[in-house]
Amino acid sequence: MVEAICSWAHMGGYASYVWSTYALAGGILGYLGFKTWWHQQRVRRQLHQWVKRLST
Amino acid sequence: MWNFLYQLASPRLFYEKTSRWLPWLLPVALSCLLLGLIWGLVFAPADYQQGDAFRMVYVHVPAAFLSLTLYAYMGFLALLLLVWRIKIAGLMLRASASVGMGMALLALLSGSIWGKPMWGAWWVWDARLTSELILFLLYAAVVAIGQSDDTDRSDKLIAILALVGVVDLPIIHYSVYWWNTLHQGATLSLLSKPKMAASMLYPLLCCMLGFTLYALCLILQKTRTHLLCRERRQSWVKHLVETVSW
Repeated sequence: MVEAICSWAHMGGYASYVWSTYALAGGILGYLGFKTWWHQQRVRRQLHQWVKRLST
Repeated sequence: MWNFLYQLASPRLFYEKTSRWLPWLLPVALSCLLLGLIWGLVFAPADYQQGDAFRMVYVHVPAAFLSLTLYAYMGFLALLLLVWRIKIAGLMLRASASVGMGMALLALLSGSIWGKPMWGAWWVWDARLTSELILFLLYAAVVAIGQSDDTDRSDKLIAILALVGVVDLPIIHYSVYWWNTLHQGATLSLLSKPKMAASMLYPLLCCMLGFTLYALCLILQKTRTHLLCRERRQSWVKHLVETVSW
């Protein structure tokens, strides 16, 4: 079982290329998603404060 | 159809409609992405020439496909912005540019990693690679100009830049036919039979769908955030902030 997994992960000698491509995809897609979420949270906080300030 | 598009041009209706779409669109996108990537990595057979190195196709092709599609979409949005002056088109154009830039970067870097074992070089000044690099620089220019505080002027500038840059799209697509290039020809085409076996093609289609839906989620969410910022003086935004618990 372990041998089969190791042999698969080895990717026929191309492991470093294949895995770094997938890590890169995870990194870029994850960064885009995180940045979008972070910006959304920041704008929500700012809007809450802005509306609160307007009402006082 | 026109009525539906007309409704989407209204900031309040756009926000309301996308609030209903996003909660199911994101899980579907992530499921397709995960399914396609695992299918391609584990279950698809190795290529008879490239061996397991071909598995990079499941990242490279969807990223390259989206980098072109999103720029074509930006061209369409630029027309909406310049001809009909639809404000949401400007916000969507900015959102599409930042997502498209990420996809172009991923296509370039994954292509470079793929090029090393196949061509023996990280980079060659091949027509396809160079035209894709120009596309990335166009995206970067749209993103940089779009961050200006003068939104009316930057809207016009990014729309013009998006329209001018559309010229690069047929050059990228046909570069492998017009010039002698190291890059292989198109694997998938709408007009001809696919050159891949079904066992390799289906995970690729699944990845392409996942990447597209994920990009759509990001664009919609980014547009909604920009929309709240720009429309913050409108009564519907104040009402939303006061009533909705985020």
